[in-house]
Amino acid sequence: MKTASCFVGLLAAPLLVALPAFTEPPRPNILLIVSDDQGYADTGFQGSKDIPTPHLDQLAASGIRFTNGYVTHAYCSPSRAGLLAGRYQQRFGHERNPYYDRSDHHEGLPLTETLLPARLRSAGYVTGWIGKWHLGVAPEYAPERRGFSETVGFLAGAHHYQKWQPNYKSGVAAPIERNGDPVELTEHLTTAFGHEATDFIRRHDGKPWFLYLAFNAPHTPMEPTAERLARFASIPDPLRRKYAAQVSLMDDAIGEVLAALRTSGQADRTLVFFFSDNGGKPKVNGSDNTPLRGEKGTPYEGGIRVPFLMAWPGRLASGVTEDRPVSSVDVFATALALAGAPMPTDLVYDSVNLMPFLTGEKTGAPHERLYWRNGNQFALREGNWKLVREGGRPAELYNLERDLGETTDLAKAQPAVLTRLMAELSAWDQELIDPVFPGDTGHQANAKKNSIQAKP
Amino acid sequence: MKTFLAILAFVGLLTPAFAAPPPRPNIVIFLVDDMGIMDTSLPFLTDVTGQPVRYPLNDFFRTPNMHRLAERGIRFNNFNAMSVCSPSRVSILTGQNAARHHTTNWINADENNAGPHGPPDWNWMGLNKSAVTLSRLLEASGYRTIHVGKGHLGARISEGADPQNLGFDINVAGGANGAPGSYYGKRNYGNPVDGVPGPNASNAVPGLEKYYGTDTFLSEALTIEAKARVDEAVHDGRPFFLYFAHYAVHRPFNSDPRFAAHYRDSGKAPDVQAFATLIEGMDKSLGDLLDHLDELGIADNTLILFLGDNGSDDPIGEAHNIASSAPLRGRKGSHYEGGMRVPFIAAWARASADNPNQKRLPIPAGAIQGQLASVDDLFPTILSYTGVAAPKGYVVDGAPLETLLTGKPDPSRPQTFLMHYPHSPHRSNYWSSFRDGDWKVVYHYFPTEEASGGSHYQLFNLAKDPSESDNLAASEPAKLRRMMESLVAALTKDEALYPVADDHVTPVKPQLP
Repeated sequence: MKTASCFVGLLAAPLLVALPAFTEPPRPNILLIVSDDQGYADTGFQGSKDIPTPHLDQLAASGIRFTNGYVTHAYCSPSRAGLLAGRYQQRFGHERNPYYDRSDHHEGLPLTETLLPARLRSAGYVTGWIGKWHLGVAPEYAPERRGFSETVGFLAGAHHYQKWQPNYKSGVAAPIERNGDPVELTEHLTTAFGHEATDFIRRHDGKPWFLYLAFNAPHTPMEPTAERLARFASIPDPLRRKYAAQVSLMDDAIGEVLAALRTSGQADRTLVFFFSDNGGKPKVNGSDNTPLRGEKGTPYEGGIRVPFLMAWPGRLASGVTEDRPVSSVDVFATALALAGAPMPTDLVYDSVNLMPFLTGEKTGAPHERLYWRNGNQFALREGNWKLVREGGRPAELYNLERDLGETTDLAKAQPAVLTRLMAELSAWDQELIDPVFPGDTGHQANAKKNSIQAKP
Repeated sequence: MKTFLAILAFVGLLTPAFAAPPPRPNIVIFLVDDMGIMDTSLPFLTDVTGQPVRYPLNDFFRTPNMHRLAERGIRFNNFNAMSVCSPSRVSILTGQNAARHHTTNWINADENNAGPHGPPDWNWMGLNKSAVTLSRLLEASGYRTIHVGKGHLGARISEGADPQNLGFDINVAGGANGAPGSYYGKRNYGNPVDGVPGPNASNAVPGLEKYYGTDTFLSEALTIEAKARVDEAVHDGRPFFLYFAHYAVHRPFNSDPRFAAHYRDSGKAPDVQAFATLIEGMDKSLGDLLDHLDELGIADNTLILFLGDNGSDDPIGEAHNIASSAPLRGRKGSHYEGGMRVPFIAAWARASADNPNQKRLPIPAGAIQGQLASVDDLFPTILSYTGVAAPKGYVVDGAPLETLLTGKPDPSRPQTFLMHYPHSPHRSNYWSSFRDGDWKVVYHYFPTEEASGGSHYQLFNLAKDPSESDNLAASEPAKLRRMMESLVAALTKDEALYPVADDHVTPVKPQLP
């Protein structure tokens, strides 16, 4: 009931523009917390037994847990590009991780895209970015050029957490930058990002704000503090032990951030998103995607389905589970709607405002279908159907309701469904463009080719 | 003969000035990088009665030594600099407006940064060995000329990269770089540490090796060096011209640990706090220098000219808002007053009624001068006061400040200031502005919605609207036309270079409304 009355307020807002401003509900802050390479099973609210995440669990209890929360790509940079652009990143050719070269003016999220922070800033929001960028390192791609008014973090795809010698030549050891300048953060990087976020929240108790808090935890390198590692001595696998410690440090940092929201009185006017940018890669960082098949970099559920939360006490239901598929790309339309900013119509946008679906105003699924493409890997989800196509292999079809682990290929059993979904996938693919920059893979391929040629 | 000498000696005792000329005054230009008029606890802006008014930013910063200097001299509340570094610095040393000397943008040491529509012939190379400079003229007249700190007067491949090519006898820490790689001694000021290049290697501060690996903050190291160079000049019995150009408070905003605690509970963003520590470290340097001049017994014969080189880069708010230089609008690089209004204080380091040099230029204590002046004026002021002539036929755009420095109005001076920025990208792109008394017109060569609501023109009355909130371009068409005619005339007189069209050749000149 409470949700319903709030919802009426939101609906009424556009009708009342001619009336004095005091009739409009205050626009909420938007806190977007993204973790990195975290497995589907690796939080308390997802059922983890060996990694307690009390603060994330508390966030889940105060909001909505999505069992079918997806990202738009099975690895980092394209996933983040789609998130901030509000459309499938292959529509603008961002299908690879950008190569780390500060003088390369091609590698980065194409400048033709106007990102969510720029749109929110135009709408009067204070826009902050903290953590990992991974959307281009040449100056024109820097977060402060893409709509963020306050920035602190690193531009590459991964970073040391402690005790490194700053050096711009290496992405993983580059100086942390604040608004484009090197800055020295003395704490473990995950803890430091948490402190930066609490500072941002405390300082901006007034104007509505958007904060993109992009932890690099628990991505490699595996460098938890010794203190935290010791807490997980009972985990036999040393890689998993370090991973658990990195998740735990991040959970503590998130706990501080949530506490800052409460103590500054902003919790009830802040919408919080939390998800991982893609699935875990167990052999590399010790993550666990159980019960899903596949991992980061694959079109199976383990690559693209992630722990996913939304919370807004008083406005959204608390402690509930939501099974309808949603995507990270939906942050864009949801945030713009709450900010009272128009949804752009200049291009094809894939983002859906989730609020009406969550408050009950709209029924049905936010998305008819979700799509993925990574080079020659494709996936499509429609209802409970999941289509997977990889390279020259025959397409596979799964029913996720009965077979969450994608173990039984129904392609032969359901030829009509297969044919229909293949046609849908193909139609979507026709709307996309080829990658516009070579990325890490392209550079590595070139380097390999060159080294082969160099041999006598 | 003996008698004659005795008479001479006798007369000499009565009037020492007759026997030996008084020592020539020492001149210090204390130049702070990226410091705007509001980045200090010393209020510059005044109310209608001329009384200084404190604003919130004045209560945030701590600059006790600027107060000390201001109490001994006069400060200007309408002092203008160019909107970015190099143009102002070249103007200070040449007396010419940037529109004339053609170093109209900050000099990127390693890459011509004219911008996509910038004039191809702009003076990216900066000054050179044959340029007429204040330092060269003073050196030739017998001054010890000392450069300490940031140069930024020529590209790396230019002669102007080395201040010693520009008439400075001594250079400490000046080069083509426009910012320090780091303020920290432990980071070797941006030079390699253990063989690993620092971030922003192109901004590594030259020299200062003896402070590497120490806790000596850059502003402190420069101060120690400046004092030592002054000691040498005094020891050698030479009058000196000290051009002390702090790297502070330019980015990177490295927090100075000596002062960080003063701002920790301010509720301001970390880089705003760091900026304040840079300001306080610069202020300590000013205090140390004043103390040192006292200790050497030369304070009463040393004239200090303190100023910023462009508007504030305090990292608060958006560049076109009233934030960084509140109550003024705009930030470094923007076409608003916050981009170009800087602090200026002139004072004898110690007032003395007996000093003959002070008698020639009595500066009232604690005074505020409201008349308009600019960085173009330092060159003619110092030359005129020291009796040094510029070469015949050399064009100077500035005018001597001596009357204004004594606290009086000077109706003979032009009340105008031309600012010309035919470049991008910066906080504002491709614009010129012209100030005439209280009026200011801004011309945007390629207008954008963001900078000027899509119009070529903005017109402000700064007396009624100091925060440039009320654009009168549409409501005062006659005034706009007159101001634009003046702007065009000033650009023409200075032989300005204009932005170019898509063909990269055709100049795009201002259009009259």
